[in-house]
Amino acid sequence: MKPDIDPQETQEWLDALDGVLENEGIERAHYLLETLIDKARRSGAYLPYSAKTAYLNTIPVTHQERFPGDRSMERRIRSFIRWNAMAMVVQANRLSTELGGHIASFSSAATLFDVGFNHFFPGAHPGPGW
Amino acid sequence: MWASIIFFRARTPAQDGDLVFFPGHSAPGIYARAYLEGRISEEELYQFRQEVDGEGLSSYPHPWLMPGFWQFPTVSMGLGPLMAIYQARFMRYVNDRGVLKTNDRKVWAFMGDGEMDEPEALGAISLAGRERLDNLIFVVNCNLQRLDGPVRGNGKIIQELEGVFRGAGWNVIKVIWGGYWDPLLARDKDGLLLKRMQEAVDGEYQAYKAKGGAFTREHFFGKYPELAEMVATMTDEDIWRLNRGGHDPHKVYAAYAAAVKHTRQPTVILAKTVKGYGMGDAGEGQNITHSQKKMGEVALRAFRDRFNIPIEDEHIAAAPFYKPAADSPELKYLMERRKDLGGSLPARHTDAPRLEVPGLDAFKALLESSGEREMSTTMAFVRLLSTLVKDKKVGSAVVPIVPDEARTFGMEGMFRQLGIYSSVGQLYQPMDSDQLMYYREDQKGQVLQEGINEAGAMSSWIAAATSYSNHGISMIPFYIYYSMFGFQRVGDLAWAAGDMQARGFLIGGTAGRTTLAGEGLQHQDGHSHLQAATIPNCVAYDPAFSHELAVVVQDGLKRMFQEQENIFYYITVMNENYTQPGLPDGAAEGILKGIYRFREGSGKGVPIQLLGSGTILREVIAAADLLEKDFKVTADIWSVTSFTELRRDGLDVERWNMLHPDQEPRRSYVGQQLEGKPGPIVAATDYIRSHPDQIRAFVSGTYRVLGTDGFGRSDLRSQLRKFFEVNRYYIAVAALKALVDDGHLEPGVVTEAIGKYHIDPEKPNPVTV
Ligand SMILES: Cc1ncc(C[n+]2csc(CCOP(=O)(O)OP(=O)(O)O)c2C)c(N)n1
Ligand SMILES: [Mg+2]
Repeated sequence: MKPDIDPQETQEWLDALDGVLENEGIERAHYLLETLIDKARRSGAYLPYSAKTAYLNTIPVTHQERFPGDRSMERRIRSFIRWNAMAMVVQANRLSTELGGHIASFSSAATLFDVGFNHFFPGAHPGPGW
Repeated sequence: MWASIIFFRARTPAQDGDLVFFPGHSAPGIYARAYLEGRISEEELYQFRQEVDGEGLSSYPHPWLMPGFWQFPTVSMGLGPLMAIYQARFMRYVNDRGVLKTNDRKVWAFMGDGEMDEPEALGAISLAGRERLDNLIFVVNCNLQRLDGPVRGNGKIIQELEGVFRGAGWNVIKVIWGGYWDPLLARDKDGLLLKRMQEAVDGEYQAYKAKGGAFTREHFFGKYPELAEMVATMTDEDIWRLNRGGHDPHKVYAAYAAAVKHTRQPTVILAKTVKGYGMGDAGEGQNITHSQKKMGEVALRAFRDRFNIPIEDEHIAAAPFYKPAADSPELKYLMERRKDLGGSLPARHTDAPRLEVPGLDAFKALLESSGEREMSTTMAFVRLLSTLVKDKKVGSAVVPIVPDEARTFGMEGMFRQLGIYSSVGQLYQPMDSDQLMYYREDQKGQVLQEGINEAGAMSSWIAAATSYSNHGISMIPFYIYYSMFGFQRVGDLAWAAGDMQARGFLIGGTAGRTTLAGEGLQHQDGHSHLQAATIPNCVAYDPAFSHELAVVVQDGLKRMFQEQENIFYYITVMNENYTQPGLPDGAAEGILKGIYRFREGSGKGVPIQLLGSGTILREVIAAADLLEKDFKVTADIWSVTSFTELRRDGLDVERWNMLHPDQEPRRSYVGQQLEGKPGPIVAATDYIRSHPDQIRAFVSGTYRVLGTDGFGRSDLRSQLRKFFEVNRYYIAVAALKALVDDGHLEPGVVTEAIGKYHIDPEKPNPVTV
């Protein structure tokens, strides 16, 4: 984006948008924005399309659904899982480096899996082991 | 539509779980959880990657090796995302067709950010968007690193993927920053922090985690005095602790909660994480971390301290496993969570009811002589399929899959008859609607038309072929495609299908290097049978006649869906028209084993054994007639339906004999069949010579093979068979040469035949031109 050449004008537009968001809601705001863009394009303006949003979380803090779990309990459990996952690779490689294995990939994914396991993935029926 | 049948299922829908694709390299983490849940023992953990003797844990998710545990082999990067999309789509298909209720289940696919480099990973996302697969959730673990280094050091992988997925119609949820950033972002009134966040590239973000808080203060916040000021009261430790979204359970939970509620679009969650999180100096955020498998005592101690693992100093060097007592709050909590969610996962089930498949008599029309009427084996296959879909018991389990190639195989009649599956039905009147075989799309359509998309079609086939385990009902998929665009195009998926114990039929159409005449070099398949032979549970046949095809398919139905063997079939069919002779008495067993005597020689003359398969069997028959007429040679003619099955049997016998030297030796099937049959043996096929060479070790005496080694090219069939030296004249010459070499004929006959049949002895070897 280019630098702001008229911050006051920018602010007026932003205030107007705030007003719409507050009084008429997101859908109306979206409609107005799309209509503005459409109008600009029909008037011959080249507006490059961007499918990207700011480098921020998509869900603002105010819209986050509340985490229903016990965070510190889950952290302790996850820590044990982290430890054992790491230890199994270390153990195998003490036997022989022929065996290989990975520590770093799971280390980065542990929370992503855990939240699923603890709160989202329905299971099929009690596992008989394998 | 015919009456749809009701499938009886062992599991009730309420018990069906979500399907989760875990990335291969994270397998240790899944085992570690299963260990806490009591599904895997400590002994088994000690046998991670030691599978040969006993109960080892497989390196990666492999259903073949841990058939009660893993469902989806994902470690060949890119296949997981692709198969997950088609799994979600298949669940829609069975739901829309009324075969099985699946709309309460989701497919979750976890994958690496480096994995998204694979064309397979992104190649089908527009299908998911177009089909509005809101039963599908991708979670991309954006740890910014792949094996060698950064995924997008000079850019931002999360931003790139956001654009790509949103453009494909997905709901995109970015989980970049953890909760510790929230107060800073709340204070960022002028957007300077955001500006800095947008400026920094992934290579820098990686370094911040690898080099710590002081480094981050200096290089990230320090760029602008206002930002340095913002964190002035924070310690380096505090800055280091500013977490990433993918490591914050609150943020991850919020994203998943939004994803499962989102409708009419698939969701992708782009979660920023740290590769090697917790490994500290041994690898956190470091370029070498992917292959780091060792942790020294210092590193172990640091890891223990960071995660508060109750292991004493004196034991730490041994890196023992740790599991709290069964009645500890932690284990109780863990077990409770899984119980509430309906049980453990991953878990692979194999309790689908058997199907009652039709007997051979159902395909009677194909077992009889066609008289004067000429027909290709492709046409025979289409007839067989139309018969099967009308079967009262299993007809609606059939899933015909085509990659924009139905007309090539004469299957367009099925468009009208069965309908092409479309999640929205048909919103237009097709231009050919006044015709008998119009292009009918239907929400209850049975045909999966995948477009020009062999990888997607193969993934659909895999979803259907593993439905017996993932959904508790058996489906009978037939994927029909140009044989050249099969194994060599999507061989990795075929390998995964073997691992997953897929059950179904792959039909290689327009097969045979010289039989598919005009299409030329990139279409003419002379080797798919060898590729099929590399997959241990793939059973492959190259039938010459409709009766062979019918016998093979019926047996396949019985073995896979009635007896529930973990095999799948590859069958080649050809587009050359000829009359069909009908099933000889007693031939069925040999057809299935791989060889039977199709015609016995007259016995008047010098004897020889001629073998042929596929369409080239007809050249063999013609050669036998020439030999009889011109040289008084009398040939037994054998139809070889599967050199590959014969070889497997031969190897098994050979192995048994080696290991049981004191017992009476067993004999291979092909050895038994040819034993005592007089004369040398000559085999010819439409495949490269290595294919018939497969049985060399199991036949005694002189064995010569003819085949289509070399690059294909377009011309008439007769020209191509001359070029590749597999026509009747070359077969006759090869037969005479073998007879001469064995001392049964005078040397002059070969020269005589070469002259008589106008063969140019100085013609270049086809592999060289
Ligand atoms: C088709 C294929 N090519 C290469 C590999 C080797 N390989 C294994 S993991 C890996 C890097 C994975 O990076 P990423 O997807 O970012 O996962 P991460 O470990 O970072 O979570 C590579 C190249 C593979 N497994 N499959
Ligand atoms: Mg990565």
